[in-house]
Amino acid sequence: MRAPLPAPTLAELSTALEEGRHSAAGLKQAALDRIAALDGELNAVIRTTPERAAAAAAASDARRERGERLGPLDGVPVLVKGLIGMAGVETDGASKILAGYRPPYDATAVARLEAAGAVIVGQTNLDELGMGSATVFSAHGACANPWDPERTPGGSSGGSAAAVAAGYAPLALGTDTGGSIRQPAALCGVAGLKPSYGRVSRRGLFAFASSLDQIGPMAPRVADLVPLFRSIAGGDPLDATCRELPVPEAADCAPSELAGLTIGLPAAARGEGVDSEVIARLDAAVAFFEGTGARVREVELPHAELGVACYYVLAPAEASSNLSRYDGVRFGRRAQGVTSLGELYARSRSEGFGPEVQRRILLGTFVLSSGYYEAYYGTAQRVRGLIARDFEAAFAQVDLILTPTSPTPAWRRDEKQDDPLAMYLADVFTIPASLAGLPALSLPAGFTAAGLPVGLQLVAPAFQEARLLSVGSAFEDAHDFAGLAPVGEEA
Amino acid sequence: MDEAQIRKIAKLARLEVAEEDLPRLAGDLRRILGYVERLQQADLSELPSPGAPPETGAKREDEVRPSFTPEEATANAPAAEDGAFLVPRVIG
Repeated sequence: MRAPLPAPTLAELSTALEEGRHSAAGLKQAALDRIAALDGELNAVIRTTPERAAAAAAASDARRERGERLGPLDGVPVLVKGLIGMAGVETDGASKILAGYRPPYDATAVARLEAAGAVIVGQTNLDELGMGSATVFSAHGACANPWDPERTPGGSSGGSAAAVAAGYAPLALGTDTGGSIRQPAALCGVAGLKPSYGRVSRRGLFAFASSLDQIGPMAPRVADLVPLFRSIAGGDPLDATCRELPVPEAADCAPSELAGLTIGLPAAARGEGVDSEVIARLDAAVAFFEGTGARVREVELPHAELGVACYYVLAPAEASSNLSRYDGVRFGRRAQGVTSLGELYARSRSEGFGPEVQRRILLGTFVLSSGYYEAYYGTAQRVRGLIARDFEAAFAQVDLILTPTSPTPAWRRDEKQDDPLAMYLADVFTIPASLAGLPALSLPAGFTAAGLPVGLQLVAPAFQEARLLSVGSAFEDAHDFAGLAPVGEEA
Repeated sequence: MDEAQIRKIAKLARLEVAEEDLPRLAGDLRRILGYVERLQQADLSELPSPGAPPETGAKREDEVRPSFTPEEATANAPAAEDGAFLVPRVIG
C-alpha cells in the first residue's frame, strides 16, 4: 500500500488565491492539465469545459484584482456530474439517447456555483442517467478507482468521486438517488453528502426518481463540503419540492464537541454480508466516539432491511415514468428509417438506452401495470412510510445513526456486472436514508490491509446537515484518513 | 414473469426487446421480483394508505412570463422546421 498524498485543503487554496500566490486561471489550467495527464487511465471525466472555465476564471481574477471576493469558492475549480445540465454545454447523462444534447438553461445548482465564483472545469462520468453502483453502465466507458484501477470507483457518481480522489479538482458535485454520492465517496476514500430531500433544487438535474434524487457535494475532506453545500442549498421558485429554509451557517457546520452526543448503531451495521475489514473500521470509529465522551447505543430500524426491496420497486417505477420523455421527437436520439410513430418511439428508445436503464424501465413498467400496481407499488409506498417512521422513533433516542456506507470496499470491475441483484445490494446501507428523505454523510474512515479506502455513513434527522458536517469534521480532525489517491507521476 | 410478459411490458414501455435477449431479461426480472417479494412480510395493518406528498406551499402567481422562443425550444430536436418539431406522418 502506498501512503495517501496530502491534498491542499480548500481553505489553503482559498488563502493562496487571496494572497495572490495562485490565480484562478492558473488553478483552472492545473486542473485541466492534470485531467489531460491522468484521465486516460481513470476515465473519470466525460468532457472538459475549457471555454466556460476560462471565462469564469478570468472574471474571478478580475474581481480579485479589484480587491473583491465572492467567498470561499471564488476562483476554485469544480467538476460537475454529467447529469446536471449546463446551458449550451453538451450534457448527455452518459447516455447515447442524449448524445449532442445541449440544455437551454443552467441547472440551479450550476448557476449557484458560478454565482459563488466557482470555476467549472468539466463534467464527470457516471452510470447512464444515474442508474448503477459501479460507473460501468456509461456510454463513455467504465471509470476506474484511483486507489486501484482494476477496481470500481462505485457509482453512479463514480466519476466525481474518482476525480476528487485523484486531485483533478478540490470539489465536485454528485447526485444521489439511493446512495450514488455516498457509496462512490466511500469506495474512493473521499467525503460526500446527500442533503435532505428538498434542500437542494433539482431544476436542471436530469430526473431519475423524482421523490429521491438530490444533488450534493463531494470533496477529499468533510470540512471542504461545507462551502460547496452552502452555495447550492436553499429554496428555488423553479422547483416546488425544494424547501424555503434557512441555509445552515458555516459556523454551525464547524467541528463540534462530541461529548454528550448520542450515536445509534443498528445491529445490521455489523451484520451478515458486511466485510470484516469494514466492521473493523466501524469498531474503531465507535471506540473513538466513546473515547470522546459520546454515547454509542444500539438502535432499532426494524424495516430498514426491506429498504433495497422497497427502493427497487419505487425508483424504477418513477424512472419508467420520467424516462417516457425520451421519445425521439423533441430532443435526443431519433432512430432512422422508421415508418410509424410507434416504431419511432420504440426504436429510438431501444437504440438510445443501455441495458441497465432498459432493465429498470421494464421493471418499473411492470410494477405500475394493471393487476400488479397495488401488490408492488402500493406495498412499497407503505413500507417506505414504515422505514421513515422507524427513523423518527430512532431519532427520539439518538442524535445521529452510524453505519458502514458500503458493506465492502471497492470490488473488481469485472465482478457483479452481470448480476443486477448483487449490484443492487451494494446500496443496502445508503438506501434507507434516501427513502426517508434524510441527510446522510459518508466520511473517510481508514483503509483495509490491501490499502483500499473504507467509508462510514452518518445519518441525521431531516434538514440537520449542519450536525452531520460538524460531527464529521470533528471525526476527521482527530484522524489522518483524508488524502489523495497515489496516481500519476507521484505514484 | 415469463417471456410473453416481457413482450407485453416492453410494448407498454415502448421498447424493442430482441428475441435473443428475452430469456436473460425474464431471468433478471424474475430474480429481482423474487427478492422484492419480501415486502409482503411487512405488517401494514396500522399504516394508512400513502397520501399525496407533503405540500411545500410553493406557489406563484398565475401570470405570463418569458419563455423559450420556438427556435430555442426546438434547438435540440432531431428534426425541426420553422420552430416546429417534425415527426413521421401518422395519418395516412
